[in-house]
Amino acid sequence: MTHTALRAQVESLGALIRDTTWEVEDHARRTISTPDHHALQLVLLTGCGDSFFAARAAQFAWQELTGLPCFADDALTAARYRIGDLAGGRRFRPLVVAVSNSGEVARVVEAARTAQALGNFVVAVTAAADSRLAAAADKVLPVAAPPFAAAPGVRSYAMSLLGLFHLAIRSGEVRGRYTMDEAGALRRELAALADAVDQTVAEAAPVVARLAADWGDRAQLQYLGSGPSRASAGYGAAKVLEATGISARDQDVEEFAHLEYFTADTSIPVVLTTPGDGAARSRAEEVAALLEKLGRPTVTVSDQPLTGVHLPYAAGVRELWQPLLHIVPLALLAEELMRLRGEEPGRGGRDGWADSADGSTTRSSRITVPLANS
Amino acid sequence: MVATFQLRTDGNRAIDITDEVVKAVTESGVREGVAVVSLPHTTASVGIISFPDPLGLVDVMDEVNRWIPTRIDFKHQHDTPQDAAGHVKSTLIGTSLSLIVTDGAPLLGHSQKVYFMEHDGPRNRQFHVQVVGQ
Repeated sequence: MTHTALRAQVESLGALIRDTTWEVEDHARRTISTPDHHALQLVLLTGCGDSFFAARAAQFAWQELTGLPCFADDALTAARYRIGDLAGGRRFRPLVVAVSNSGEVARVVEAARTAQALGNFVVAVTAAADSRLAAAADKVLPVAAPPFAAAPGVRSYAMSLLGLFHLAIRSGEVRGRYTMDEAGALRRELAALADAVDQTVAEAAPVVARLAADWGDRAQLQYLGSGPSRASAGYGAAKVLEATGISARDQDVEEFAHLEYFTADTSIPVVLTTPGDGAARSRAEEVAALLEKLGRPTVTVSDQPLTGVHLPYAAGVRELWQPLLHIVPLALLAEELMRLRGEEPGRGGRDGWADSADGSTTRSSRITVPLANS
Repeated sequence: MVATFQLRTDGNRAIDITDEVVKAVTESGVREGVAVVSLPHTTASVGIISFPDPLGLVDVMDEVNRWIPTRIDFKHQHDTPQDAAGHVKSTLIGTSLSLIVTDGAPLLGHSQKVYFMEHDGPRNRQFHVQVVGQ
């Protein structure tokens, strides 16, 4: 089997977490001052693509750990619809956490510049300390992964999640939501994910190989998840799209029952990410039964099997952190399908996709920032 | 020989450790000498407090908090505001206590007991007792 960079990135995740989690923790500890943590009243996480999925996944950790209202928007929504009145005229300074591994994605830079122009407190989560995003932020949390062969974001996504999780733990700790010992225990849970990821690679890889062989010729895939797993559904669809060009869509479990359930083509496979003890589990069970009646080929990504075909990941991890584990089966499936179909990531950046080869389709967009007092 | 005792604090309050100190002195076999109680912590302290009225313990801890309240503008921000305040409290009150040992027991007044004062709980803690003499 050819060992692609994508697969190598997945297999390196355990070591990546092991090698970087305490360094990220140390940076997160120093990113926001104690008075600034205590001034927080509202948090918006934003990003594009994988960085949006990281924001979407981490919003629940932020909300639970800090006790603050927290939500996640894609960067266009954040920049042009949300940030303009984030405080709703009240006298506080919302925190906008803008995520971009490169720090050069235009819409995220725009969201950060807009947020800063309108008086919000902006923290950049990025691997590039000298980027446009870093320059537009009040504070920067560096989340650079050690150099590695390029592939559709796996290590960079994991680093964004790790950074957002550590920053949330820190904020809750400083705000007195729990003790230092309890914060330390949460941090050790993140560190322990290194072993859980290694275990997941070993358990999921053979199942993924069989599944990819069955689904290798499909033109469409549907990904489902709710809560933190909603982000994983988006991430899984994104990896397949990038790696294979297969039309992959992601949807919330409940919304699926209202919408895509009625899709006439019942041969479209479904990937349902559903933590065994997740808050949405009971609904996932109901939807899995509906899928079975339709005859839709379905696989669950879970720490507790729900369907006959099951992509496992390590058990015993709290739902908040599980998006870090979901990377493994979801990215492995994308990689297997890519290899079987002889595809290149991003269509090789050739032909009609040539504009994307240097990232300019997402980096060169015109940035619009409102005047501070407009 | 050093005797070491473990405890789990359940918040910021004064915890009676007199029995453990007496036990360490008794088991040392020293009849006349000195016992040193020492805490290997920087956000806790040790002291003697009057015990007959338990509310007196609360008064002591309340006043410590009044002197050094938990604030968010401490320069030490590596940990938490409570931790930063705890460092100051621990330094001012102290982390060791010497007691005269006579007739094989620590010499304490009729209303005195030895207290472990937690300033950053709940935490897993310990303290040591070293007895010297003959």
